[in-house]
Amino acid sequence: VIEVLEPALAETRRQIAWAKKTLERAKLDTRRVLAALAKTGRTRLRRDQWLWEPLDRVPRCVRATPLVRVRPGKLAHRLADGPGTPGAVGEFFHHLTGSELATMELYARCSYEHPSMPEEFHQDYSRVTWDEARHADLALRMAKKYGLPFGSMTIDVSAYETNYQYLTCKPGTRQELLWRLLIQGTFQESLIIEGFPLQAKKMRFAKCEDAARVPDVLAEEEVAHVAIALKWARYLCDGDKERVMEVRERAHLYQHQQVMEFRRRYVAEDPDRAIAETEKLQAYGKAARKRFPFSIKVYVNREARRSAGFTEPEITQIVNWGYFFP
Amino acid sequence: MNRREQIANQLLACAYVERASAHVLLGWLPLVPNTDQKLTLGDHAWVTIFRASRLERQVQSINRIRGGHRLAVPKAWRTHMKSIDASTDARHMLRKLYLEVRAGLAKLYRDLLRALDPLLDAALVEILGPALRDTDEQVRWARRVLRAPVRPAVKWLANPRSPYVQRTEWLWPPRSRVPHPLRPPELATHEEEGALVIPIVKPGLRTAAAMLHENIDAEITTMELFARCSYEHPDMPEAFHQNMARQASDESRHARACLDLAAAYGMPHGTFPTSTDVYDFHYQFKPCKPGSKRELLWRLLLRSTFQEALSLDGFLPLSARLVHDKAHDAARVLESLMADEVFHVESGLRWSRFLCDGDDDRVFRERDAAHRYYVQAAQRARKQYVKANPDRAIRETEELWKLHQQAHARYPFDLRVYLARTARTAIGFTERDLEQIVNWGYAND
Repeated sequence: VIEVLEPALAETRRQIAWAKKTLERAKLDTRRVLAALAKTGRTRLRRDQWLWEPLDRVPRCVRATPLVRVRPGKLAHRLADGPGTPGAVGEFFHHLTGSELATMELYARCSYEHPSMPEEFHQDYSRVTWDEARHADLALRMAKKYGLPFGSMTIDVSAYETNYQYLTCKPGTRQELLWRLLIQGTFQESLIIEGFPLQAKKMRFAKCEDAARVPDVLAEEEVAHVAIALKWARYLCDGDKERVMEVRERAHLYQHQQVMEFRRRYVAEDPDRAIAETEKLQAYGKAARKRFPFSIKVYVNREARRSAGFTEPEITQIVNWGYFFP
Repeated sequence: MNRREQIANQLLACAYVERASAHVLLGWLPLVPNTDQKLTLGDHAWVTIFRASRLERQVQSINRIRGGHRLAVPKAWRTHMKSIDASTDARHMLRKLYLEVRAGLAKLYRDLLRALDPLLDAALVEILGPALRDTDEQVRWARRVLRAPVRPAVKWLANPRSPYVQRTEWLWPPRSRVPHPLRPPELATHEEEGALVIPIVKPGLRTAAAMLHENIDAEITTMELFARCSYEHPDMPEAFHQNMARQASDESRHARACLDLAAAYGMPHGTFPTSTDVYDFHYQFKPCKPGSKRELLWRLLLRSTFQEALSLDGFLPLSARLVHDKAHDAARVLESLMADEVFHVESGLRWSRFLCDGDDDRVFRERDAAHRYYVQAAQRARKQYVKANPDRAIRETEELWKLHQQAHARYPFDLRVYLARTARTAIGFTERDLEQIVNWGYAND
């Protein structure tokens, strides 16, 4: 018992110290809660009744006022500094801060909104939430170090807001949860497995060794996150791997159509800016190919994906979507 | 090799040292004569094996992106650890293991931690921080016990040129059989097989002390037996070794609790002759080939799924007696022991089924055969004792009968033992298993 309680006490003390600091001069008032815990009423709840259904839906995540969100359909990248420069590294981490925060919030809600899922699911996603919080913290630190403190540019919340709900899924359903896990967990986060080692390589080329360590570690940790998402997606499909693939296919198509729809609207509203953005992006790509003395093509990492639990047809599915080379 | 791969390889070295240390400790537990040291080592065995598994998982987690780690280690490491296992006496083993290997491990932990970023490498810091604290504490303990001065750690892990061994070959087969565990030479022991080993004490507060005294031996011998079960079968799944090491650590804690309280009740260990019967009897069985899986199965079936399970049935009346005698401390100790016992029986059942390829019928049949052997062996030993010492044997029986009558007169409640059906069912015993125990006559249903 002591083995459990000692670390619990130390951790709770740390949390209270943090809360006191955050809430500025707040006093402790434990009387009410201790009195409530001391009550032994006749009505007892079973273990599966400990938690309660979600009190609300939260389709938009709250951000502090000075932070400005990216306009839907606009390309999020500023691309002010050339490839392989400290400024480009700063921009990478600025963007990453936004997406790590949003991913953390999305997974936290996945747990909160589905208290009836097995306890192991909640443990897995609390762990992922902790990891994403750390990743966001690291990205914040690096963005600041490389000259772009969080908020210097528009921020990206799409990982949360485009994955919170889908027109095709009834709000709050297991199907909605499945789509979140499939799109964000097994698809978008899985792209980090291949993409981030290349980012680290570029940072090393730019002599930003401390920064390069971050995408290296994040890529490693994302493999575990993808494995977790895959595990629970399969659970939600009663272990049917074929069904997981079918649903992922539908969810990916839906997401692609949504992105295209936003972009179409943006282009229609502001065609000159949209054209300028596209040209800038193309020029940036060309400059990057010239700048780096190695290939910047992204190839599928089959070993890592197998290790995360993907089947061969699942790997082929993502390769066929064209996000990287086979 | 990038920095992360280097970190993973250093973690692998730590994982290997921890796992191999646990193997040495589990094998040596019955061979350490000093009780206090024996119990501390039982605890260390669990801490080291638990840490090894966390480190191993972390190595894999870092390397998943590269398709996983083979977990192969230089053969020289195994040779070194095996040579420590082959020490001639406990003192030599302790000196080598703690003052060289584990002191070196502490240095490795310290160096690794120094090079880590608390935020970026938080998952590693979370493991290495407590690992360093525990290892430092263990080395300090060893220095105190061995009265040895601080020495610089030996850099024996730096040996990359040696051929490598796979994960399945990390450990080595047992170097010896240990049919009898060592005890401090000053401790009086029961020598005669078949004699009554339970101290006969009139019901009352002294019964609690006698129960604790008897329990000390049971806990220590069980710790030693399960430690050897792990050591003698390195090819069993890792989860088995973790269960066995955890049980060894639990039994060590239980023994300490009983030692302390027995002394506080005025009956320190050694007041009565002590016994190693539990170990001696369960170590080997005539129908089983020494070192075989059947021998392991019988140990688990008899000690865990039969005897330890019986303690669950006996808990209620025994606890009631202790409370009636106002031995509240002893009742608390007993309650705490029983909470762990549930896990021990569960583990015994789980691994018995594993050894029978999940065939419950075979588990049932083997338990029946092992129990028959146990009863016959006990009867045979008793018969021989009675034949050699008829007067003492008669006196023992009379005293036992008197004790039985005194107990019935003293306690105003039912002293019969009933099957702990709820606990047993939760553990995983089938209805047929429960009937088996009732039919053998150990508990009422």
